[in-house]
Amino acid sequence: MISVQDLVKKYGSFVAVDHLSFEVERGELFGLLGPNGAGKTTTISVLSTLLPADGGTVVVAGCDVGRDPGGVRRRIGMVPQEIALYEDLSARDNLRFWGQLYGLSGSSLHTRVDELLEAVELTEHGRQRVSRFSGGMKRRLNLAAGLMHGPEVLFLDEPTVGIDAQARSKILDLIRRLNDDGLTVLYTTHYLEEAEQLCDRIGVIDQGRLAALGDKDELIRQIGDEDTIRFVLPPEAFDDLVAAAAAWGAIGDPEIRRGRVVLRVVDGGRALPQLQAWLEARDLPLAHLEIERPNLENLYLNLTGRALRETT
Amino acid sequence: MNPRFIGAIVAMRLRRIAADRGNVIWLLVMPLVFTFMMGELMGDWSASGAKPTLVVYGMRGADPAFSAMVDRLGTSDDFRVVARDTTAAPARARRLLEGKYVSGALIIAEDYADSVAAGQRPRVQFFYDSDRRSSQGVRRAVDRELARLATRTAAERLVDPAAADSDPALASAFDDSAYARLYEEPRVRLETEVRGRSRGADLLVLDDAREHSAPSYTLMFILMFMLMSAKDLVLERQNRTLDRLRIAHPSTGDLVLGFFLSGFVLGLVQGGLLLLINSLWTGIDYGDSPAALVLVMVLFVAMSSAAGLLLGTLATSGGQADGLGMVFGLGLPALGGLWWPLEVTPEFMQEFGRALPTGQAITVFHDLIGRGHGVAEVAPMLWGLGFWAVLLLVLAALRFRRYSV
Ligand SMILES: Nc1ncnc2c1ncn2[C@@H]1O[C@H](COP(=O)(O)OP(=O)(O)OP(=O)(O)O)[C@@H](O)[C@H]1O
Ligand SMILES: [Mg+2]
Repeated sequence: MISVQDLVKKYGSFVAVDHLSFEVERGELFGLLGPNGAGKTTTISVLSTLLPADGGTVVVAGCDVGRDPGGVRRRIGMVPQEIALYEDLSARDNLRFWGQLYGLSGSSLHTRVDELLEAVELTEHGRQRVSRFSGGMKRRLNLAAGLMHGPEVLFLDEPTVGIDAQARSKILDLIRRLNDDGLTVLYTTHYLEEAEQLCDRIGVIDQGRLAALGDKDELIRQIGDEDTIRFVLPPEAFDDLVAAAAAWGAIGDPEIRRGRVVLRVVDGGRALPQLQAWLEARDLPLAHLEIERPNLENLYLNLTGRALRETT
Repeated sequence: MNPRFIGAIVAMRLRRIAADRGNVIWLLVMPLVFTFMMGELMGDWSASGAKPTLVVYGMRGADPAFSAMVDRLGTSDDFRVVARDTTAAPARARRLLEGKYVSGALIIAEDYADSVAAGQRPRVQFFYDSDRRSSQGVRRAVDRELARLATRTAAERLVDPAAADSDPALASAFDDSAYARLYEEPRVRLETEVRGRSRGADLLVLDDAREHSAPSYTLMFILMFMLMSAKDLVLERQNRTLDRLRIAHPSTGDLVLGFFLSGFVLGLVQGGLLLLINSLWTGIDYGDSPAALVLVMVLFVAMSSAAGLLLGTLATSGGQADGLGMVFGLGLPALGGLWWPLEVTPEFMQEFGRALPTGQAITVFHDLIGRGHGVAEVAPMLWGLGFWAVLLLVLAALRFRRYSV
């Protein structure tokens, strides 16, 4: 449904999207995960024909964005990162306007507006000015505005930014329902949990490059199957440990970091009892033990080199 | 072209303007307040303010009869009299008239009293501007008083033996032919110099400041509102509604037309209402050519809407749009003679002003109101306005293209 190959987009000499490639199947919910400035909005803008590409090919719903932008525009819905609404008008007037632009009128327009207000749970607030809406209500209406003409593909650019957990889960539910009804969704976010919960597949993007791609398990496999065991050991025992560790499936030699031994092993579950036995034999205590299994958060941190906290 | 798409944009933008009641202040209330205030302030165009002025030079040389006449002129409700002992050259009187500082000037010859005593006819020069109503009023009063002075002198001579002694023609009292001759040859020889007609076209032809302030503030606030709404386009870009518009429809032309026409419709409604209210309120007559009136409004509103659109595409932030809107919204009216008539500015400023759309539009209004001109006579100014409208719209459309792929 969406095919991106070697996409390059520059702002002057700055490369915002750098040879990006990915595919999204019909009916898929694809997540583009990346920190601020990663190039998510730029990518979506090219895919939705708002910005011309500087290289590569992009095909959306069977239409090439460069050669047939009109075809793309008819088939896509776009929900910008900003609240792209006329806040001095009512919710109903906003939806009516966007519907009119797609040629809806009369009772079909009326029905569609009602349907969407219902879908985003704003029926009671239809006549209210958008400027009086809460952040979550605005986000929901922003989403509805992109759906007026019943698109085949929906681009969602960080649709949950700046709203509370409850409002967020409402939106995620809505997106899931739309996807269940067959809508192909390209969803960008910098929240790992959202991508993890919501998306069938995830592309991690950083500094314009695709850092990893796949479903959750595939991504985890990409950082390897190793577990990390950390514990405190008297320094004089360290050399013995190095000699013994190879037998427990250790990957490389153990290291000492910040006063703790860091032992990377193929399977923590098997290595741990052996380690314990080794310590008991020497009458040493097992102090400050920590076992770390691979997870998406680590992956994300490794790939993007940035703590999530910085980006939220 | 997709009329439905364009119509939807126009309707949406007008609805947004209607949604903010405060807009009525800038669209209608402020222009009416300015029209009224400035109309009151400049009532008769004479710079002295309240009343037109008749200035009288050389009072020291006048005889008691003439002084009494000047006093009587001073009791007029329609103008005030400023009497000066100094003598003045005609050049000064002309300057005062052309600068619209006074509505009339009398210059009494230095030898006035001596001439009277010698039985000769003394000389008084009178300057006025035939194109100005206040000036005409002063002239009527001066004529009337001089006639009275002449009759009085004649009567005096007819009954005064001493006068008869010095004038052989009065040898016998109440000689019919003598009376007739005296009447034909009044004591005062009035030399009247008419200012204004010589430079006719350049001089202000309006009687009342409101005939200027009504159209000028109508035009100014149309332009101002349009330029101030340039910010809307910047905001549409920033909050990405413009992106939504672009995705909804591929034609840049329709988008430009939608934005342009929304301003155009709004401006026509605003301008039409203002002209109507002013004509009902102060009885202003916009001349004999409805066609010319409609044309000048249509072209000026189109020019303003295009200017607002262009500004919106040029400004990079809402603040910048506001700032530039203020600069042009006040600057163009000032240079084009909307705040004060171009006629009071130096020649080169007048020429410059009439090259600007504001100057062109107000010149048409002056010609319609003051001279009763029609489409043919104001055509050069209309072409100028049309040129500006097209130029600005084309530039705006070209700038708009950068928003589409
Ligand atoms: N119009 C522009 N001109 C120049 N640089 C730009 C422009 N728009 C974006 N950039 C730069 O391109 C990079 C990618 O920006 P983009 O908006 O695509 O990131 P993003 O992933 O959407 O980030 P965010 O999470 O903050 O929305 C950033 O470094 C940004 O500063
Ligand atoms: Mg973004």
